[in-house]
Amino acid sequence: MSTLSPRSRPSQIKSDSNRRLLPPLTRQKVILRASLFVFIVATVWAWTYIGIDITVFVTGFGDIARLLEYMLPPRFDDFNQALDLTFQTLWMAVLGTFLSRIALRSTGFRRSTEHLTAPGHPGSSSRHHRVHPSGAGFGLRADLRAGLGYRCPRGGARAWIPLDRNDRKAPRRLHRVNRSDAAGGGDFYGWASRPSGDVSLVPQIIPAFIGIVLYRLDINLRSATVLGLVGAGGVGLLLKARLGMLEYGEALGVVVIIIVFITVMEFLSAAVRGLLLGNDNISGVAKAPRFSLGNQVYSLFTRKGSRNAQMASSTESR
Amino acid sequence: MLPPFDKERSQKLIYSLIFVGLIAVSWFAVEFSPWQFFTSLGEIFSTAGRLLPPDFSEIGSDLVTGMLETIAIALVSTFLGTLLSIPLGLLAARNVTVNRFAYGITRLVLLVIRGIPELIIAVIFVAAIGLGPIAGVFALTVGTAGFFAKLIADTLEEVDRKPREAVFATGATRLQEIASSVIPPTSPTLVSLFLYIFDINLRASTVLGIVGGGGIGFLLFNSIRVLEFQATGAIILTIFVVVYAVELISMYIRKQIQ
Repeated sequence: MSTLSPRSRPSQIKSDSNRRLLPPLTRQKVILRASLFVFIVATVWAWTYIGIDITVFVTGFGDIARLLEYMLPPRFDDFNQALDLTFQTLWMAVLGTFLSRIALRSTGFRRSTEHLTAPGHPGSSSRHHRVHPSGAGFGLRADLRAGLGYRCPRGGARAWIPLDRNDRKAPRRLHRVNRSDAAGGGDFYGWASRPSGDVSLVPQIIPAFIGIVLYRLDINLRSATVLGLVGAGGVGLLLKARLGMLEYGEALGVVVIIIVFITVMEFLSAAVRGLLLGNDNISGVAKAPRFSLGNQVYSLFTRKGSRNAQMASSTESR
Repeated sequence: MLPPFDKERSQKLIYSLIFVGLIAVSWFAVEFSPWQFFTSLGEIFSTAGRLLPPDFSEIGSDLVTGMLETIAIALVSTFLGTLLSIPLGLLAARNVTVNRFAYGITRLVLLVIRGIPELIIAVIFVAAIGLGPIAGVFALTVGTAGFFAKLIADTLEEVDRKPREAVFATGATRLQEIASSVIPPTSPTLVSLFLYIFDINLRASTVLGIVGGGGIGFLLFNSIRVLEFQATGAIILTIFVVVYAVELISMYIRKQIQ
């Protein structure tokens, strides 16, 4: 922006005042604009590749309207079978969550650098495998060292336990615990590091752990409903069968049951979360970070315990 | 020394027992046996072993076509979903919406859309439109609209009120107010979310083919059905490489714009 001296000519003043003040073109903006341009070009290519045009939209919406005519009203002829399979879905989700949590406990501790920090230790190797896939080479070397008897002979194998993505939250919880309480308290009684960790670290991460388990259970329930589509049991199997037999009314009935089931489970999950955790969470991350129908229904009954309800009330107070 | 057995502790104990009971019931209901689990590990590893070495020779051209179709589905559905989610997101943000009724209705619509898993939406669209990528694009567009609109709304709700008041005091219209004081501070976050949504759509579009929604998933499902495991290995490897490459690019852009 040019500075105007008191003796500036009127024409200069006029031209400067007409000029729009624009922010400087930074590297950030250039990258953003270039990315946007590439995305638009790629989308145009994709559009022509798939062959979408206006007629596709018109006929597509017509087909959907016709299908809805066939589907409505939903029918519940095989309600009992649907209920059985819905419960099967629930059992699958609960058992899957439980088994993955067992694996999580050991790898979560192992990956926490606060708990185990020695280079080449399985703790660091596992962390590199899960959090930074690019660090696989380093992790592999660490695994090999661990496998050859460096500090912990069995650690390398354990570090490979496949887990869902959420288990990366566990070491973060461990990083936040009060180290002086954990180490000092345990060491004061002369315990070895493992019992010291179990007695003093575990109680501190319990609220976060409960929050994650419930959140993961929510996700697993949704996943379990569609597992049947590939033949893995659950209510998705019935949906696929009904659509395959062109029984659209009954298929919509199954979809309705799935929606009700997911909503009820979210409601129960929010209720349990509210009762078990209340406001006693670690750094506000122990509760499900999701805005769901079940959570909303729950927040109608109670204004405490649900993170979303808390967020809503804080927004209102602002 | 144990903490006192108060109401809170007894509540926690009861819920823990209920959870343990649920696990026990599910254990028997699914007829899960640890012995079977361990004995099936051998079969799992032998099947995984049959995926190696990946064989690209038989499905080379189909693989490229399928992968391109998958990327195309992800791109178009992200674009269409974003177009739908912008107005929905504005309506669903408490501080930007036109009135409480519009806010409530939009939030409800978003909740219902997000309550239905995307594969189920895809099954319904395949039943309506027929097999092919168009059904997949429609399904992912609906899913994206529900999810992205909610993320946009949540981001907009976090905007500071003071700049908006300043712009409003200059006599700006509501649209000008949003364009100059709501969108600019949230744009880096919105771009990050957009990249995240594209990431999710790319992953989702790889499995759409399993229910007839087009893309490489169809090829994957067929190769498993005819027991061509080495071809399956090639498909899985290709999916991994493409998804990972896109994730790296997304990470780079995200890092640059933050």
